Amino acid sequence: MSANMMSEHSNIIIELKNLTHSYGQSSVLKDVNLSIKEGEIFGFLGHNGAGKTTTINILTTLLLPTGGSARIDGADVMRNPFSVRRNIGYLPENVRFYNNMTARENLRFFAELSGIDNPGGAVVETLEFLESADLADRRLGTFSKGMRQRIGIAQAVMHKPKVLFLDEPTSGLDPQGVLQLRETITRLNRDLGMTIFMNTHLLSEVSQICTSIGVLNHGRLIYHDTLDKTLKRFSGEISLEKIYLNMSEDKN
Amino acid sequence: MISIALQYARSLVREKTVVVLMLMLFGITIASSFIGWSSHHTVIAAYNQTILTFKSSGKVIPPNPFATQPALSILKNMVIYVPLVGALLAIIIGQISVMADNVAGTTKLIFSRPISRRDYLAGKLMGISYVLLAIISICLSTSVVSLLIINSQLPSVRELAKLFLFYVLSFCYLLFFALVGFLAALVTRSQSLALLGALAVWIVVSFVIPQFASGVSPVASLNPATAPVDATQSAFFRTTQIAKPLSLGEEYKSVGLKLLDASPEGDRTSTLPQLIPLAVSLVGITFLARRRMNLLTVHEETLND
Repeated sequence: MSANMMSEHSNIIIELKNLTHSYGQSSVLKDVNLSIKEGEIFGFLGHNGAGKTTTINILTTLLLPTGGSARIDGADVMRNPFSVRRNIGYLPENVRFYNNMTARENLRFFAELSGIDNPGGAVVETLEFLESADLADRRLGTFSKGMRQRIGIAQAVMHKPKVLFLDEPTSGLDPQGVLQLRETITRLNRDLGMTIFMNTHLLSEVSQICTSIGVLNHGRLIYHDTLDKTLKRFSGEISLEKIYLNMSEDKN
Repeated sequence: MISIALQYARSLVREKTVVVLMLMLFGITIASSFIGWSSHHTVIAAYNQTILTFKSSGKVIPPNPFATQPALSILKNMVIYVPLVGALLAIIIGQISVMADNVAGTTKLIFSRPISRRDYLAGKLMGISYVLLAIISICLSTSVVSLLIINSQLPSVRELAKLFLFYVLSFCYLLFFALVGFLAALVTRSQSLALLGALAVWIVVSFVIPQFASGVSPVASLNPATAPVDATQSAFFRTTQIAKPLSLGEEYKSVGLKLLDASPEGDRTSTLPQLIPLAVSLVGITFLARRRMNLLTVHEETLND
């Protein structure tokens, strides 16, 4: 193996090999092979039911794959789930909290679960970083979707994970909320060096913040490359939407 | 584990149903002292009226049989309230412990952290114990204050020790029902089914079995003023007495009354054998809960909501 290849291989932080998952007879993921480098913002595209959430559930150790393997920062999601969990943050679609508790109480609880030494301090620091300190002492039950999402991001990044998984993070947000969240994601990547793995079906989102993309179609990874190369490769196309539709149609 | 326990305890005291039941239990703890005091004074008043009649007719005045009522006995109604309101509260506390995160939708977030499902459930069990301990401590304090107010003097060390033991017994009794709720939730994974299952156990343990077991002394069931009567000669009830060791409610009541110095006259039953059914049930339900916890993995149906 050449030095170049070694170095290229060593900074791969997410690695899926022949990843497969079935719910009974229904096959949701089919031999997915994917490598994502450290520091990337990866946009995982696909129609509803393509298998994006199942992939995230496997990568966050919430679901065991029925075949293949997946590694996060070298740790196998099946064999070393706790090592994986220490290195990841996760924001599910429709994140939910304890509504009868304040944002601070909720975050403190998740900070304690993450094993943070000074959970109170981490909560304050994270809320300040996310410019959401004003939400700290309000009950979650009174929050809008956008506020809830900000607290969701806070719980996911408090322990400064290497990889952040976001499942449809802007779904249901108003335009201002979408802009704020995109900015936050970019800052987390730029300032804290987090690798971001983001499920989405919004191509505008991908084109604005992602550095690489993957397209999942009926459980198969049909495309994976950097955004720049993708745009160059399909330079004749009018938009990313058109590129995505062409890819999906070709493979169907 | 401690984080889970404390979080559960914190969130539980904000649950309306739990708070209402807690307030009810604390309320009736106060009421039990008042009722005990009031009924004692009514009896004394009746005696005083009677001796006036005796005096006027020149008859010999009999000594007051209630003059030396033990101080603790005014709390005897607690042996009814704990198995009724307390057990119901314990079932809900146990059942919510497993269901709360499914209902809140926080399961995914919790299990994306370095915590195993077993540690999580062990934390919930610890939380249940904390909450029950807090409830029992408040009831104990309330009872001590009530005794102080009603008797205008501090209970003696012996009385305090017996009262303490009564509430230790009550804690174990409530823990059993909390574990029933906990286990029902683990097995059914459905909020309504879990509650229904646990309530069914409560009804059987508190009402059905005692009816069978104490059918020979019909005034016994859930009546603190048990008066032992001769067993009826019914073959049916002689047979159903076999169920007596399973009659946790009756055994709790009987031991509780002894600790509160309110045992009916002529009660010669030994305390230790009466505690065995409760101890065995507690160990048994803990064993079943642990076994169930060991079988658990992360549920796909929960995670793909």
